[in-house]
Amino acid sequence: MRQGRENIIDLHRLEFGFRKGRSRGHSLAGPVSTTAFGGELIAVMGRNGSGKSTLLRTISGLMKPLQGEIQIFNSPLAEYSRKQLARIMGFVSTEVVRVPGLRVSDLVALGRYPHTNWFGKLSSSDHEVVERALDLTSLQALRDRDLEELSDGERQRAMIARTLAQDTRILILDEPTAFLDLSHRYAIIDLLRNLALEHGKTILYSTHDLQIALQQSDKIWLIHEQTILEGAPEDMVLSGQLRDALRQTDSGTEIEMDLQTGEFAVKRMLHHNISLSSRSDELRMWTNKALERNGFKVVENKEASIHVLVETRDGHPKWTIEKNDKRIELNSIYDLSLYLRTIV
Amino acid sequence: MTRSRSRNTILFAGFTLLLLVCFMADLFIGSVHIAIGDLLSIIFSGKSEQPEWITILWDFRFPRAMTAVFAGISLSLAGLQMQTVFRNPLAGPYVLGISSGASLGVALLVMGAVMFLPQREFHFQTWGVIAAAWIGSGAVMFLLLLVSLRIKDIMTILILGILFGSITIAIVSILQYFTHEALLKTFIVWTLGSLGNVTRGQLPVLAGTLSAGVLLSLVCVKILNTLLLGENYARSMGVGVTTGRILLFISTSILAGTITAFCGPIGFIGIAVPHIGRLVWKTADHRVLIPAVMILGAIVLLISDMISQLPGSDRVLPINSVTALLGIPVVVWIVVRNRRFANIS
Repeated sequence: MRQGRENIIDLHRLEFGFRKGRSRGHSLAGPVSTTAFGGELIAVMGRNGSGKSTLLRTISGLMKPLQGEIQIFNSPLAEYSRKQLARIMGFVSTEVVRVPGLRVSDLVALGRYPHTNWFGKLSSSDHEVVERALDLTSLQALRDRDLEELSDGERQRAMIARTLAQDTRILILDEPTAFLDLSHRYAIIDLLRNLALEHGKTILYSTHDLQIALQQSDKIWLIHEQTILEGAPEDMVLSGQLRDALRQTDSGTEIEMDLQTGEFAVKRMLHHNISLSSRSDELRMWTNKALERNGFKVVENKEASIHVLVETRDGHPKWTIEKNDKRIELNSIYDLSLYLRTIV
Repeated sequence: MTRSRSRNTILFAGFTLLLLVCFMADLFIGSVHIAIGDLLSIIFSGKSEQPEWITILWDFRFPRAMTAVFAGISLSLAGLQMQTVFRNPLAGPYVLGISSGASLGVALLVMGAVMFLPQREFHFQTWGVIAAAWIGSGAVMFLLLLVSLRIKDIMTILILGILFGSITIAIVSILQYFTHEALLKTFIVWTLGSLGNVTRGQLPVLAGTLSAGVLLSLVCVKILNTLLLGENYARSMGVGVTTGRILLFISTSILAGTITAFCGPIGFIGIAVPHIGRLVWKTADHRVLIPAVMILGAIVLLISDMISQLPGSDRVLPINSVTALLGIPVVVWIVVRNRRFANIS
């Protein structure tokens, strides 16, 4: 049930940043104009300090834009009351919430508040929404647990469940996968993907995780040099925009993106030539990585003075290293690295 | 869910009963021994063989026990509100500087007046002291409300509250330094706190302000629950955080300010009782916690009052020392148990 090209969030010449006192404030980016359509999962990317959180907070109405306008469902954000906004937009921040005595089911029920009376009494339909949110996030088994007892991944899921109970068309999440291990990261993003695909929600999330953003988002908003570049992740790889934006230069280390795999690697100065031969592609690839890490450039046989041969004998890989007619056999890549450091 | 609801009902019933028992026990305890049978006959038939017992009961013990109930409720509820608003387990009714404001008011009245009228003897006037304390705490609250209209960051508000408190304490110290010994003693006695200065005629005033404070707190119950998650989450759930904060500051000032005005500063109840409430009822939901800490607060202050009477002797301990002795172990326990204070901000 994906909505077609329904405009959900429109940025019109938006300039966002911090307001300081009465001055105009410190602008992080803008003016930018772009649109989030119905059912889209959008990854907001950019370097540290580029303004990802600020953009998300500005769209959530937690911060005021410096210039320009945000429209939600084709009406200016400023014209919504806080209460109206709470019914169409849910927000998950990076803040780690620890409340002693707050149970998971109570936390999720808090999400119904924009829909309840002054005392926060839940109707039976409110309870159903809460149950559904617990189901979708696989939290039924943990529903009576204290929030303090949850792991980071479980807590993040509970915070997302609370937003689901808020039953909003738009979800905004600031770094939902921070602090999580790989499998939990994928679990969270898979959940978001599902919510966008099956439930037609428009989801904006910020992340530093390029792999996940590349695989799992419909669109990337890349904040770079005071503007937002956007496109399908693949478009942004092919156009080189991602590589240019994420290449680090100010921290001294250069990283390069591999256009084949979409992976980033630290760019190294390779001082020594070495040759590498192996029948197994797997062994060759991993040995190559280790050699590059140690400052060796893998070249043709005749250009190198050091030669490495990898072969499998009796089911175990062996590395034979040859320099000036001296041969040494090693049992692991670690031993190989140790030895290489002694001969150069 | 139904299980926790029936557990709550049992707890509320049990603690209400305990409250009644403590109230009766507090009426029973005092320097003059009145047997329980006589006590009950005075209460239910209004008659007694010793007419002065009727006076002792209705003019001294009853107002005193009622004051303990009102003060326990007010301070505990104020403490609960402040712990939630500031998201700090060590916050209490006095974090806003209410008691130091009240002290300044009383100090100015008791000692300051003398600086301008050096030769005249100053007469200790109950209503005068109450009004001075009220004005003092009201002034501090007014300053803080102005600040919180402009400043959104709750930590900044907390720090400013503490600094306002420190300034008033400094001024009070200057006044103490320059005053007569007799007046100094009057002031010191006020700072020790007392539940016994409230007359029966003043009880309706306490009941009225208490109701206003509780009503404001109930109006804010959703805001309090959302504030548990922090301001940003509260805003994203449609809550007007600034308005809510101001209502809760007003409620706290009414509750704690009035009790401080009538009884002097009574410490530690407001910090300790909300924690006991969370522990016993095992919840963070203010719809349960507000009535829970009200009942618990009344019970704890009634017990403190009984201890302060030192049953079996005719001496009376200052109530502030008793609440400190009872409350500090609880606070110590909170600190030790909750070592992760890093996440408070």
